[in-house]
Amino acid sequence: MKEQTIEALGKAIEALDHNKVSWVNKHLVIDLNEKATVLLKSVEHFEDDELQKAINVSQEFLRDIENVISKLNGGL
Amino acid sequence: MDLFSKRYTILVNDEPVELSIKNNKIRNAYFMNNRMSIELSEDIIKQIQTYPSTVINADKFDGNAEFTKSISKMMSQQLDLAILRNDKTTLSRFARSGLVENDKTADFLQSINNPTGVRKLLINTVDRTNSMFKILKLDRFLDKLKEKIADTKADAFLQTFQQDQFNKAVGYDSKLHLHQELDTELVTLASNFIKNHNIEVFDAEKVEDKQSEELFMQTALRNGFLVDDAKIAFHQTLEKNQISKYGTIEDNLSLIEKLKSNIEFLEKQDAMKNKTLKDFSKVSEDMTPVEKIDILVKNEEYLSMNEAQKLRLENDVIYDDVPITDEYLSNIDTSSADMGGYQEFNYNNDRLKSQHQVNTQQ
Repeated sequence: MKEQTIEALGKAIEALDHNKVSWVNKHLVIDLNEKATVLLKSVEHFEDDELQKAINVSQEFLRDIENVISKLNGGL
Repeated sequence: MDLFSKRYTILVNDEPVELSIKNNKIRNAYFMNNRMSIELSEDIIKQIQTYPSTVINADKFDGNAEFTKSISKMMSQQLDLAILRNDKTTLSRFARSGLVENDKTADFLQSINNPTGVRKLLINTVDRTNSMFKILKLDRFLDKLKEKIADTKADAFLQTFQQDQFNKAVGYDSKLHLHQELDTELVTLASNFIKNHNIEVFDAEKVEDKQSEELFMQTALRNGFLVDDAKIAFHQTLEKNQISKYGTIEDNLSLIEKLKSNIEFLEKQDAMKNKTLKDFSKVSEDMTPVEKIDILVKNEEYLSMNEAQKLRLENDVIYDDVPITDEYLSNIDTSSADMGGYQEFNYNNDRLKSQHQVNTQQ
């Protein structure tokens, strides 16, 4: 589960590229990218209960950004 | 130190962002003829200032997420404001600028407000993930993470997140929080911190004091305490230290009162020597005229006066109750035994007497 989450978050970070959107929306993409980075670092570094918590939050986060990712990958 | 602000223009998609910079700080920022607020780090401001031209293309800062985020946020605010005000001039300028994703087949406003459009989708997702982070109370969680990693990108996010939490912390109120029960471990942590950092008083205007407060809050968070409790513990411990050292304000006020009455007592005791007329004035404060005469006739300064002065003084201070002020005494000093001096003395002291009567009537 840990490896899968790390992989999914890695892909999300790559997809959340502010160069794909116009200037008025760049800060929103950067915000999501930063959150994904924080979660990735959490899953990578935490252990036991903290790791489980980080994985749960990451799964929820990944579900939340699904639409955004598909929009960004689909060329808006 | 700069005497004047210097103007710089940053071109974003050919739209100018005007910045006026003075002493390495942004004084004003204008975008599409509106004054806006932009926060840029000192590092970026220095880069702008050292650029060979005052007109800079935003591409120069490609890859600098902080710059991109600040400018983008400012533009986004400007767009939202224009939509709210229905400012058609600004909206049409946005539509032509290429700063917004614009579906050319639809109306510009409809295109921005489309719920499945990229802007609405992003705004909703950022809001949802913000509340998700808040509900999960990730502040402590993230702080633990901060200890484990040294990642600039994640670090900047954590810093902002934590700063927001600090700013939202409840303000310390002595009446409410001085006797609030707190976790003993937290109180010990605060006491040790204050002792180790030699903090005596907290001045909210001082940068060092604010830094100490933040540092303690960070330490407390790392130890699993809440931001609000940490702030209260910090200020409560400082106030208790002050009280144990100097006492409470009430204690100090009653001490001042006690000292005042001691001084009065000692002054009266000194006045009992009855050397000067001022001594006489103090000693005879609450006496009847008969008792006053008994004291006055033993007063050394009175005894050294000539007869005319004595008579006048008796009338004034015994019967007319004229207060013995410095002015009154100086009139006695300047007066001499000859009639001219005596008359002048009389004239001045008559004036004082009538003034005193007016004051008494009032």
